[in-house]
Amino acid sequence: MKDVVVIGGGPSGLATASELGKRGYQVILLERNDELGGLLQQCIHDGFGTILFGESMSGPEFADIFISRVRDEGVEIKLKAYVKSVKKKGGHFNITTVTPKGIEELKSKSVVYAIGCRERNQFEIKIGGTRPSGIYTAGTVQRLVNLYGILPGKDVVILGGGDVGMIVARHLFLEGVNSILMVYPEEFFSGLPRNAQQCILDFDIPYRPRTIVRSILGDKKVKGVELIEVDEDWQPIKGTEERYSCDSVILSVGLIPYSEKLEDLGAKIDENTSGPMVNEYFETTVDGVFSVGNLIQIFDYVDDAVKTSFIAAEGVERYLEKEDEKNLGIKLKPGDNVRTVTPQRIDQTTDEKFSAFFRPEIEKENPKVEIVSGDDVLERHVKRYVRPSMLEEISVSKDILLGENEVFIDVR
Amino acid sequence: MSDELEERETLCIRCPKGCRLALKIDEEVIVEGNQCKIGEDYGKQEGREPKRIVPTTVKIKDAKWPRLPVRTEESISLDKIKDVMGSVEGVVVEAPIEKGEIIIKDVGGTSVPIIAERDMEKIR
Repeated sequence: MKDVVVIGGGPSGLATASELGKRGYQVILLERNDELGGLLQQCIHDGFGTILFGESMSGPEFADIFISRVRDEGVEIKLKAYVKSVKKKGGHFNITTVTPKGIEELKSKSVVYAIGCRERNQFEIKIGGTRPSGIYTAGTVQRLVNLYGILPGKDVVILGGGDVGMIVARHLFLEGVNSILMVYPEEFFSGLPRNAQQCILDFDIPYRPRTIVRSILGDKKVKGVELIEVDEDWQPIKGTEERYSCDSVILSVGLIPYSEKLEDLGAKIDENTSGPMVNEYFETTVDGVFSVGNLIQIFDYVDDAVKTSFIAAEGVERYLEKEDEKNLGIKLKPGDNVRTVTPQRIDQTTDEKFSAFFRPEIEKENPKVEIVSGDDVLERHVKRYVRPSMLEEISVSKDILLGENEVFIDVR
Repeated sequence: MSDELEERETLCIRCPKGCRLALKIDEEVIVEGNQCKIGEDYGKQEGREPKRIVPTTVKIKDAKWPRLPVRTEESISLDKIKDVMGSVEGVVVEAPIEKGEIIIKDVGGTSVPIIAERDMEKIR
């Protein structure tokens, strides 16, 4: 019987496994791919590590720090291990994996899910026309270009002005595609200003705000798209249709926590984040099952995703040592001008403070961020500037929550 | 000699606000559009010499992947990026490669090396 099984060898899984190894627990790390590092291995641009390490490194370099740590801390690593099922039995978990050796069963006292997120695809957005070859998600293109050296096409339309789309646009520009056009329904790029400047504006890559791909044209291969302008509510404006020739369409239309596996296990899912409902140590609604990183919600920075690993490791330790009294159950919810909040509940009285992450719904300078119960403001924070593309973190005092049933985070 | 000012627009990247900065570049850099001192300092640096790390890949033989991710060891002038990409093109290396290994000593006349971003083991 192991103490912990960590599922997923990306940055959050690596950080959780190494931290628990360091704390002296018997940890197995399961990774379905044949190498560790997860998505970071294809994120070859710099900008990782600025929050945690105070220096800007590439994805593979950031991953390498935590790959070294899991090795140093004696974590048992299983590659090419796909988790078929996790079942809770009594006080422990039976984990069935499929590996090159066949089916292997593992037993552990606790489980940490670190299986990240997936990209939204063409079938999840309203996009008309035919279904020829030449339609990709941005992450797939990043993988093709950076690991295989394959360009998706010569004349590329990118739909979506988020971070992944912008970063991919830069790779394609530098690797020498013929033309790129980025279109998105917002007024301005929805990703980080850093990426707008360094990926798009630096190279004068053409972009059109308030524009979407209405339909994809082409029989066997993409021949073009029909573009249409949209208003402030993203409604298409008649008469602005335009045919535009291209040989590939790249979709960068959002990421979604990959929470189906947790749902199978009985964990409750938050409809705002699409991730599991968690407490302040990122324990799901199933006792002994934790979740970390982009599975909880989409983080803008890997540094923040990895922070959840250290917090969850503390939670796992308390669970294993049976120090995790869970008598509070105070609900934390998104209030005015807030789209998502994690954690969704506060369980334990230990520690003075906890980290709350929220995504604002509005853009505002020097807003007040308030922890509110009914008409009472329990605690007030101030931020320099908030915008929906930036996930925010505040450190909330626990004692102000005692005796409350549910509290809200408001931005005003 | 022209005494016309060079003017450029850039987006401040120092906080989530992302102010649009207008840079007027002469002997000194005049920054407009910023709303704080941090933005002014950033604009001045961008006006003097915008610098970037350049990430790309090179072909690698006998390795797990067909491409090895590499980058300039330090940031280089934005206007040298084309030269850097040109001198990386066609480079082929052989596994094994270690993270940090120098792939090109002086890339595109910048006197900055291109380094490997990760280990890549030899396969077979």
